[in-house]
Amino acid sequence: MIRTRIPSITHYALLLAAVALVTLAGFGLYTWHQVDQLRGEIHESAREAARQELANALERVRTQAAQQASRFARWEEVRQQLGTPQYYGYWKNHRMHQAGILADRVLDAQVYDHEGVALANSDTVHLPGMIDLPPPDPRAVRGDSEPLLMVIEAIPPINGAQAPPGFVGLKSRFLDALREGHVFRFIDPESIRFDFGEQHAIPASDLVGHARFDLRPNPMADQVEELLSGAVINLGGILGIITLALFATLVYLIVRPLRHISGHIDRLRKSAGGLVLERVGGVLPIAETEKIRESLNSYQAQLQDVHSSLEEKNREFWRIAHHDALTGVRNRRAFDEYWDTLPRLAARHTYPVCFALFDINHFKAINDSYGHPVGDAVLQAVARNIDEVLRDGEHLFRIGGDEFAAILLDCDQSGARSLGERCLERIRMTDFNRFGVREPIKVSIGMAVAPGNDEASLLAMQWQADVAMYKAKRPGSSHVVIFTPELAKDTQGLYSNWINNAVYEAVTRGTGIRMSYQPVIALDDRHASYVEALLRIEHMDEVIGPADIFPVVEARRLEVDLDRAILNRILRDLRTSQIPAGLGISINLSGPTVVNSGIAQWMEAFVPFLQDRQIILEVTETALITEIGQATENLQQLRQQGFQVALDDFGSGYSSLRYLASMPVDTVKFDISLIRSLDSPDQHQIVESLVQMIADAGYTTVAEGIEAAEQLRRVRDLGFNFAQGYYLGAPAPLSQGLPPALPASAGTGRT
Amino acid sequence: MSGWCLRSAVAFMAVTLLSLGPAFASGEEVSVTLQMPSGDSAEAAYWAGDPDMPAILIQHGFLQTHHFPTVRRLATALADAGYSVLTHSLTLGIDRRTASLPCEAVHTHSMPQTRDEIATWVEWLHEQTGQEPVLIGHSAGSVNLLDYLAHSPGAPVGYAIFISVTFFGYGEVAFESPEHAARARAALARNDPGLEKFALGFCHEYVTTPAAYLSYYDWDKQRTDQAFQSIGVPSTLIAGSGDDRIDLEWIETLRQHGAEVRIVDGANHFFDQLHEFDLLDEIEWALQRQQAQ
Repeated sequence: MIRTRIPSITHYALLLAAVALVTLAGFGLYTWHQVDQLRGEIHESAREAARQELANALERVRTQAAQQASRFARWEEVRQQLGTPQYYGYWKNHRMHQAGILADRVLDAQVYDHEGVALANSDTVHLPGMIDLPPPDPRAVRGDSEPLLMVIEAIPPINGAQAPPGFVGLKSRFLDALREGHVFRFIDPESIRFDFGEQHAIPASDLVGHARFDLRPNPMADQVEELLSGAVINLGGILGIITLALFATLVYLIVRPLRHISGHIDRLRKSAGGLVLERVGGVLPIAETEKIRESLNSYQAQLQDVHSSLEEKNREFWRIAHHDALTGVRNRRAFDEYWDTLPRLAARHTYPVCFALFDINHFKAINDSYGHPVGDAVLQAVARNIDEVLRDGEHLFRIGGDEFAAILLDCDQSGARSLGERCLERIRMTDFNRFGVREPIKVSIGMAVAPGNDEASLLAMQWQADVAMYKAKRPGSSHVVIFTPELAKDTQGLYSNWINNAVYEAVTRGTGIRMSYQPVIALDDRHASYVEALLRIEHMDEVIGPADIFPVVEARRLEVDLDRAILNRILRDLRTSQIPAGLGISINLSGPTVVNSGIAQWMEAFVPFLQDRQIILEVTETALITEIGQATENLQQLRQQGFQVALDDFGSGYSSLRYLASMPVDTVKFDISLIRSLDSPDQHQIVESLVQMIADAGYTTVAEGIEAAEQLRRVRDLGFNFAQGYYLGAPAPLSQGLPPALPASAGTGRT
Repeated sequence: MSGWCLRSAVAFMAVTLLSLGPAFASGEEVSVTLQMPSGDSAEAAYWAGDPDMPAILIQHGFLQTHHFPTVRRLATALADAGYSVLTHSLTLGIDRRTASLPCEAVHTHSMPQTRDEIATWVEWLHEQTGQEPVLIGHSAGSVNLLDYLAHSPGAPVGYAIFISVTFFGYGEVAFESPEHAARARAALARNDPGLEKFALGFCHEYVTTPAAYLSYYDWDKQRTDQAFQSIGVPSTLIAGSGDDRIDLEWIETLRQHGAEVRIVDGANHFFDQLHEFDLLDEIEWALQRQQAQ
């Protein structure tokens, strides 16, 4: 879409002035045209009047010429010449012109007899020697320097005669008479001239048609025309000046203040505020623009106040939006923003960048055990301790419930490890007893280091730190783990596409699930051995173990679905009697399954098999403490249905005896780490006491991780009811037959 | 010449009178045109008067017409008094001349032609009234009448009155000179009839032929004096004492030679203003006296 540029008020002012000037010019031209037309009409009228004036003057001249001729013809001395023609020449030369009968303009006169023949002794050169009879009408003839008028007049007869006794001819100058004998109002008399063309003579009555003349200046018309023209010019000039003055006034009073205000607004837009619009009206302030200025300044002041408030709010909002309200460190949003800027920030340097993930071990259990206020205090203390270890400019981000992250610039692997260890030490030194927490608070730290100028490596640090964190969380691992490529191989399952696909297929369709069963051997006669169902997934001739399966399941929250698929598979094995009748079976349930409200219904299908065997549901303490209330309720209901509950991996986590006392648990399975502790001189006493105490509390005990005969003997001596481990039998599918340790006691029924 | 003139005059007058009516009404002015012996026609004014009273012919002065004021006033006064009055204009060579002829005009007329025209009119008046008319001349017209009377011894004229009479030929109030006359005579001697400029009477430039010029010029003081003495018609001379155009001493000489001279005190050459009545009184006195005789 093409954006139309909006004209400024200057353009409109210019347009208005242009339109006004064009209108004025048009009106002026129209008026000028009218004046010119009037001038033409006056001129034409004057020319017509002049033509009539000239016609009148010529008529008068002709009349005068005729009268002159008549007077001459009636002159008695002329008749005397007819009687005594012998003296005509003398008379003509000496008397005719001197007698005062002929006017001075008469160049020549001639007397003709009754036959039209000039009297003798005539030496005239102007008049013909003979005239036509009857005599022609007066006519104008060419003269040497001016046209001449020739008139032939009959001499009046006497004695009653019909025929004239003779004729007279006169040739006269008439131009002077024409010019001087008439008052010309329209014609410049000096300009009168006659165009004979190719003719030598023309009738006197046609002289008007051959006349040429110039008009006399008409002072009145010229004055009127001059006045009109002057009025038009003056009016146009005055209106033009007024228009330009109005334009200038408009520009000065309106455009300039508006531009000033507009410029001020532009400056306001680019400035941080604090600008005050000065008076814009100059020496001619206008109330409206002053009102705009005052309003703008007032608005600007208010806006500035609002802006300041908003800035404060924004800063507060930003702080709130980017900080965790509980711990005071930056939050996930701040982390994401910082993470986005990290490649650009680090690209300017060559030093390494470290990314650290912090996770409080078993924080959920702490939260549930001591309550949220205590958990919050723990979080605050942990965050504060970590943050105090960080250098200036380095920020700690809370990116999850008990997860923190930090991005450390110019930090290599040794620095990262040192930082991690300082954090652990700082936390270890923290007195959490003041919050009522008696257990030690530990933190797992996963770290990754990458070159700052390698964007791909930088972006991979989160994943690498996750991997390292996963490693750090594993039992027996260091709590500070820095990512190495070898770690990636260990956690390949988490990130392998084909493993992902296989797990997903197994969960959603039940394909590839191959249950393996490991014997749990009873160490006394009061108990019967049973098998623990352990999950394997076969995919394209590959067998995926728990180490690769459960990270994927947990990462994708597929625990319930997987458990249901496993339950269905075990149920099929039961129904197909692949699991011999009487052989007890232990089934692992994840935390989400345990707290699911449908667990009792799902387990309904197993109830018939409780008739001849025991079915033990193994849950981890971590799974229990997630939602201990719901878990306890569900487990109670399952126990009421006849199922037994075993607490798995006891000793790998909190191993809180308070938890154990509050949980509906029948069996406690000691983690391999505790079993191995029996070999430690300074720890075996504690473990032995713990085993004794739990056994005395009435729980059935199971020793996991029995890998040697000595271990078996020791746990037997300690009074464990069951032992489980590779020494006693590795997990194997039923197709390979029951483990050799089982047949002796298989089907012996439950205790 | 007298017979031809009379026939011509009668024939022409008959034509004219046909247009005027069967007879002249008494006391009314009528215009009379007569063809002169030269062939030109001349005009006159005529008042038929009391048959028992004298008929009068009044001759105008040099180059004038019968419309000249002095002549006209006298004619009308006499007509009013019951006289039959005829006053005519000489043609001076111009057919039906009605205007005075300027000095500068070409003058083809001569004293003999004038004499013939006067004779024509005298005969016409005589025929018209059956009386011997009284001739009254003014200024040079008196000379014309003297010439007529001198050359017509048997003319039917009963009496003559000469008013402000003068003469040609180097007079004291005229411009002609013996040199002009000598030049004219020389031209005649070499048979040159061409026009020339002369001075005659009160005319500085008078264009005429030598013969015509001399016909006037020769009527000088002496010839005029002789004419007065020789004419067989009783006459009276009337002059104004204030007339500076005539030679009053010469007038007195005429009185000494037997002429009756009446001098009007203070009158000028034309008897204008109040002197016209004095003139009329003198004429009536003379006529009555003549009639009584």
